[in-house]
Amino acid sequence: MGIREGKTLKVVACYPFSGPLVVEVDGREITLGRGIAQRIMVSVG
Amino acid sequence: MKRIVLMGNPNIGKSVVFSRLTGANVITSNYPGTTVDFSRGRACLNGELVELIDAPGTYSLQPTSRAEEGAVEVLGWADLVINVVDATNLERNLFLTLQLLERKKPMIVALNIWDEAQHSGIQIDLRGLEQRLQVPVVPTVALTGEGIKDLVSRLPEARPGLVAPCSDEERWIEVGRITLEVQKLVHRHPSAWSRLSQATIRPYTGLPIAVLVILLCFWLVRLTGEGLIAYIFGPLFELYRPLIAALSDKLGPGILQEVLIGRLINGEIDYVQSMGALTTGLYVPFAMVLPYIAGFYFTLALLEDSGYLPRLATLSDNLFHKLGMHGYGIVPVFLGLGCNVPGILSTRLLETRKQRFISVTLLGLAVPCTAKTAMIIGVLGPYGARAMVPVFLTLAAVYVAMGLILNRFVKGESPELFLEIPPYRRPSMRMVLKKTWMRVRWFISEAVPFLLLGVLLVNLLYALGVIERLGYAFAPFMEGWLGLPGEAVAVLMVGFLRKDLAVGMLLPLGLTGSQLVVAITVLSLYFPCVATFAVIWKELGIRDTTISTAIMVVTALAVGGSMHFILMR
Repeated sequence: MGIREGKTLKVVACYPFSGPLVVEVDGREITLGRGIAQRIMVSVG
Repeated sequence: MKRIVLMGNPNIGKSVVFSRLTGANVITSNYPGTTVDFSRGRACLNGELVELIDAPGTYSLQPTSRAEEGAVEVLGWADLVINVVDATNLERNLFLTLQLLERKKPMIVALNIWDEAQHSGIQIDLRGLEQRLQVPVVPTVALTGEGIKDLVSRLPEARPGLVAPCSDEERWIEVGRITLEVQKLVHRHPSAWSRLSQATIRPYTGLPIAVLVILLCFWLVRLTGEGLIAYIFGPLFELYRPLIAALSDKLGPGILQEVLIGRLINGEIDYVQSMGALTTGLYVPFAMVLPYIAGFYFTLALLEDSGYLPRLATLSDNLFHKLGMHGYGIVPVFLGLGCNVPGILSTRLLETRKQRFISVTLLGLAVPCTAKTAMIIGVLGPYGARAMVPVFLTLAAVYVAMGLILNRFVKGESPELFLEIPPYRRPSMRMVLKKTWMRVRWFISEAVPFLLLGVLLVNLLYALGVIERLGYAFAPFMEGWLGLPGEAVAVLMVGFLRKDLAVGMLLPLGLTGSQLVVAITVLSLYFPCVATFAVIWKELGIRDTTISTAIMVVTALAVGGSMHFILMR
C-alpha cells in the first residue's frame, strides 16, 4: 500500500501497549499493526 | 450484452462513477470497503445498451479478503475494464493499473478525484500518462459529475494493454518510473484538515475526541428521532385515530376486528398494545422505529462521508485485538447498530475465518439494531435510566467478555490492522440525505412486511390458544430460571421475526421493572431475527452458523439467569 524500498516514512502516532502505528507516506496516512510495522526496516535520519 | 467492469483501489469513488453512469443508487462513503459485494446496473452508453458492474475495491489482483476475491472474480467477466484511479495517489494506484493491463482486456483509465489533486498541488501530465499506459486516460470528478461525459465518449477508444506480465518487484519499479515522469508535486502547506487529522488519530488527543464524537452522535440520533416523533409522526397518528376508531365501530367484535384493530385496552385503541395490523402493525414501524432509523442513518452518513470511521478503527485497534479482531471490527458494529444485516455483510472486510466468525457472532449477540433500541427506549423509558442502563451495559459487557472468550477458543489467525486513512472530506448534504433516504426506504420495504407478518402470527397464536398452552408448558423454566411469566415464551417466538415488535409485546404482560430488564436483555441476546439469521447463514455456512447460534442461546440463558438472581433476589 505504498510502503516500499526508498520511501520516506513519518511516524504520525504510536499507540501504547503494542498498539498500532500510524505512518505517513506520500502524504497519505496508513495504520499498521505493530507486528507488521516491526517487519519494515528503516534507516533513521 | 457487453459487460463493463469498474476496477480500482478501495475508497477512490468507483461506486460514485457507477452511480453516475447507470443512474442507479448505491451506497458510497469515505472509507475503504463500502462496497463488499458487486452491484450491477444497465446503461445506454453511446447508443449501446451495456451492463455495468461495480467491483469491490482491491489493491492488487492477489486477494487478501473475501471482498477482494469478489473483485478478481468479477474481472473475469469483463469485456471492457474502466480502471478508476485516484489522482491524488497515483503511484499506489498504478500498481493495480499495470496488473490489469497485463490481463489484456480492453481498458480505459478514469483519473478520479482530479479536482482534489489540483487543489493539493499535484500536476499530472495526461498525455504522458496515456503514452506510457497505451490506453486512454480521462480526468474525472465523479462527485460532481465532471468528466463523466468525456469518459463515456472515449469508451470506444479503450484498448487491451501491451504490458508483459512481470514480478511484483519489477512492476513497482515500473510504477516508480512512470510516476516520476508524469507527476510533478508543488509544495503544499499542511491544511487545517490535515492538522485535524493528526489530532484525531493520536492516542492522547484522539480518544477524548472519539468519546466526544460518539456522544455527539447519540445526541444527534435522539434529537432527530424525538423531533420526528413529536412534530411529524405523533401528530399524524393522532389524525389517524378517529378514522381507525370509526372503522373499529363499524366492524364490531369478531375475527376481522381482532386482526385489523386488535384488542381494545379500556375500551380504547392502544397503538402499542392492541396488536392489530392497522394499529400496532403500523404504529411500531412508522411512529416508534422509523424516526430513530432516520436519525441513526443520517448520523452514520455524516460519519461515513467525513472519513472519521478509519480513525475510529485505529483508535479502537488495541481493544478489538484482544477480542480476536482488529480495529476494522468497529465498522460492522457501527453498521450493525443500524441494522445487523449490513453489519454482517461488512465483516467480509476482515481477512480470516476466525475474525469473521467472532465479529458475526458478537454482532448477532450483543449489538442491538436501531429498531430494537428504539423499542427498548420506548418500553423502558418510563422507568428511566435505572432500567435502561443495565440493559445496554450488559450488552456491552457481553460483547467484550464473549470476545475475550472466543478469541481464546476459536482456532485460526487474527492478522493485524493494515488500513489506509482517507483524507477528511466535507460531507455533501445532498449525498447524506440521499443515502439516508435509501436506507430508510430499505427499512420500509424489508422490515414492515415482517412486522405485519409478526402481528398476524401473534393474533393467530392467541386465537388458536397455542400461546396459552406453550406458556403453561414453559412456565416452570421461565419462572424458575428467568423469573418471567410463561406467556413470555410467545415474545421470544415473535422475536425471531421482529425484535422490535417482540419488545412491544412485553407491555401487556404487566411485568415489573426488573422483569422487563431481564426479558429485554434475554430477547436481545438469545437469537438473531430471521433476516439476520439468513445472512449469517449465507456468510458463515451451516456449520459455523449452528455453532454461532448455539453460543447465542447459551449466553442468553446464562446471562438472563444471572440477572434474574441478581436483580430479583
